[in-house]
Amino acid sequence: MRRRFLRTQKRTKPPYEAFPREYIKASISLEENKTHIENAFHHSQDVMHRELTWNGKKGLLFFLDILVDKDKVQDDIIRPILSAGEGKLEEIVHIAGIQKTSDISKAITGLLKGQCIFLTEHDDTLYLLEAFNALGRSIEEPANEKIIRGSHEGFVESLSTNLYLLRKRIKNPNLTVKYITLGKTSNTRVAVVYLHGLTNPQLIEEVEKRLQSISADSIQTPGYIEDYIEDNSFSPFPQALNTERPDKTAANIIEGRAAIIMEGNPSALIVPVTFFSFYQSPDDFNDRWHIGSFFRAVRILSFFITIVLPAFYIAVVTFHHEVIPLDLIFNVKSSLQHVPFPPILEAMIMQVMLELLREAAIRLPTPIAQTIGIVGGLVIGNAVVQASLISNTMIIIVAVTAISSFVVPSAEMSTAIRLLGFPLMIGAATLGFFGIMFGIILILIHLCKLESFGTPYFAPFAPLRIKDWKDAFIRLPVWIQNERPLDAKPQYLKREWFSRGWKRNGNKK
Amino acid sequence: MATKNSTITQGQLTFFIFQTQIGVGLLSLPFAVAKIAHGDGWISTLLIGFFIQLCIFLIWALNRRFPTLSLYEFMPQIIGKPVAFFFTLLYSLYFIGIGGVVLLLFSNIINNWVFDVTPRWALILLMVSAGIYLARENIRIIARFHVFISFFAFILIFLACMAYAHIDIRYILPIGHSGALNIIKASSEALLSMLGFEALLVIFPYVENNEKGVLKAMSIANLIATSLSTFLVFTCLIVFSPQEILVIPQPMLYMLKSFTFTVIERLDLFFLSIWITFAVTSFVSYLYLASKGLGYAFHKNRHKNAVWYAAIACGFIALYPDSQLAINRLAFFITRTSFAFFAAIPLTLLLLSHVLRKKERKDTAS
Repeated sequence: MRRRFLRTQKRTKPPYEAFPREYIKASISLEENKTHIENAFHHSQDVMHRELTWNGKKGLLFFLDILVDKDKVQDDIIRPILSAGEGKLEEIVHIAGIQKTSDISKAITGLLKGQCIFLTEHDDTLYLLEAFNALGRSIEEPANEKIIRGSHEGFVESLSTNLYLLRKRIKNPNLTVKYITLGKTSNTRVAVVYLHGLTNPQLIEEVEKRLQSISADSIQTPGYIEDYIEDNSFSPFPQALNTERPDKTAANIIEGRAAIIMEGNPSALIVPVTFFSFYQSPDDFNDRWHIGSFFRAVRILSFFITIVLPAFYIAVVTFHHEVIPLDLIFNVKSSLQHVPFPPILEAMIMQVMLELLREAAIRLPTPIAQTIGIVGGLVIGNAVVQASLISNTMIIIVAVTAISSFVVPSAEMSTAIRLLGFPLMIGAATLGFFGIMFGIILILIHLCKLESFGTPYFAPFAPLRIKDWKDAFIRLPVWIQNERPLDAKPQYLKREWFSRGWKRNGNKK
Repeated sequence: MATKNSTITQGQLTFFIFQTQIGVGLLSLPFAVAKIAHGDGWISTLLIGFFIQLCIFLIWALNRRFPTLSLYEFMPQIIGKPVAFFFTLLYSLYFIGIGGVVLLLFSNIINNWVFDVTPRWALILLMVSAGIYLARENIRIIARFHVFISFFAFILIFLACMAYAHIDIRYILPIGHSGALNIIKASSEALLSMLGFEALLVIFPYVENNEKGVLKAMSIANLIATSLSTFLVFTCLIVFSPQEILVIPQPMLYMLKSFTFTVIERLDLFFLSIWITFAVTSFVSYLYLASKGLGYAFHKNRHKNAVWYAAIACGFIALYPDSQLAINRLAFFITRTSFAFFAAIPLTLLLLSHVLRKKERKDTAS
């Protein structure tokens, strides 16, 4: 029912194809081929061509002016051709990527990728010469995933740079990249990266199957891909890990997961993931293990605080006053005395205000964002209490909730759990503790049901696997974590062999 | 028949049974046994645990003859289709009945203890919707949930341990003072809070490697459940004097209510909140078992289609009694009839299957 309701449009073929995808044989007439290519681009003026003589015949070099590196075209293609004048093209030009084809459609696609096409009179062979101009920003640390110590590199908008960053970290021929082109109009190149022989082949098959079945006009951000391939779109929890950190991506690939990276976007989608993947940060492994474990425990605690604390407070002041000890009740009661709203409304107002502040500050330049922070946080916060619109304690509760929601290293999880707090607040306002408990039970049931690419989302808790707790809500020393977590079902689990043999030998002596 | 994606491990079986056994009856268990056996109530719970162990042997012996079939599937082979159909319905009704009693006792306790003006149907509705949400899934997902919830048992034990500051061991002395007969009688009162092991009849084929180890997993489940209830009963019996306990229907809660700490009071509310999860797991298990039977009878073995009306039926059973007396009568009735379902019928089936030489052939078992 639900599915039928949501699928409003009928399954029809797209009204147009952006350009012919089927095989079109090149003609032997140069003029015809030229017209064909120019027509395909509707005589767009950035399609340039240069006439050259080759082997005594008239030749044409086509390229998209803005996509190619001009120096490369001049020095490595045109100059050798002019100076040699004849011979085999492969031996003359200084280009690594040369393809021969007789398919004009392929040539047109090549032009869009920044290749040059070289064709000659009385010949239906087209040469595709790689001359892509990689413009883009330099490698920087991602702003939303900063860490204290460790690698400060981040992905950029260029797919090849991102793959380079991964190859640099995993120098292994088994690191496999599979390209898939998605989007009928945008023709976005997407790469699936995994370790052959380690990653579960069924997983790769499933990822490829889901990616191939995407039939859409354009893929603009990884969010599109995520929406298309995730298991349950109606879950509040993100089911693929978005990261801009190459080290995090590499670590996940070595655990047997697959990364999906898209041209033009600096983030990798990692599948399959579990709930706890969102609470891990490379920082954990740069600290000593007790410290790393402590921070991780703090993060998990932040999850409970974010979803339960406001609801708990509402339940206490609405239904269960008796839970507060006598000494404390006067403080709470006095702050509540002049507030006209019920606690649930107070909490909602403050939460909405907070979301407004966050949303307002996020896109403004830093100096103005600071002003907003001061106006919002100090002025409004102080004024609402003095005007007796919101109680003191509620401000504290909402502030603690907000802070703890930002503790999660992943932005989408942070928002997800902040929003999960709202239904629990409503539950608390209707049935007190039992409302909260039912909310939690429903969330837990949902977590137990949820799967990400065939992997239980709530592993290693449900299904229980105590072995994998070593890297879930704590982090034990790496030599104790000698097996990969089972959740991605890698082909072999062992990842560490007797690294501290020296210790035992040393003691014997 | 179990498909590849719906099997559970033996560990999951243990916690599934444990969670089904430990449920709503737990809170009033000390009161129920103390009414008859007084200070010896804890012996009664041990005794019923022992009795249940015998029944587990029986059910295991029966199911072992049909390792890939559930109760509903192998009954036709032993007693013929029409009779088996009737018994399938009977079992489904029985499971719905227990599900209804779980809802009933749950809403009753919440009503009496915290929300005295909240309508019962609202609480039942919440419970039913949570039940439907989980019971629609396959056994593996339900078992995952049950395993996770079992962690909460530690919190319950921790809260109960708080009581050991106020104990007097003389309340239960001399051991055995109420006589063997009363102890045995009281143990039948304890049965309601220990039911749940009969789920094995239905979930046996879903257990991985069920040729061996099932008995061990079941015994561990029963051992944990029996020790937990004995521990709670024992705690209550040494905290309250023999006269006191006879007037307190939920001694656990009453005990926790009296504790005071500098940051928090009314531990009973927290205890109750945790205990809700145990009520939910029991309810979900029974709902699953019932809809499994109905699904087999009416929906070509798809239990999903039956969950809706089974849950609604449970809800109506829970809404029906209007007085404490009616509640007690219903609970009593269910407890008495349960003997037939976990002992008498399985025993008959076992004997019949031996007499008629009915057994699943090994080569068909996969």
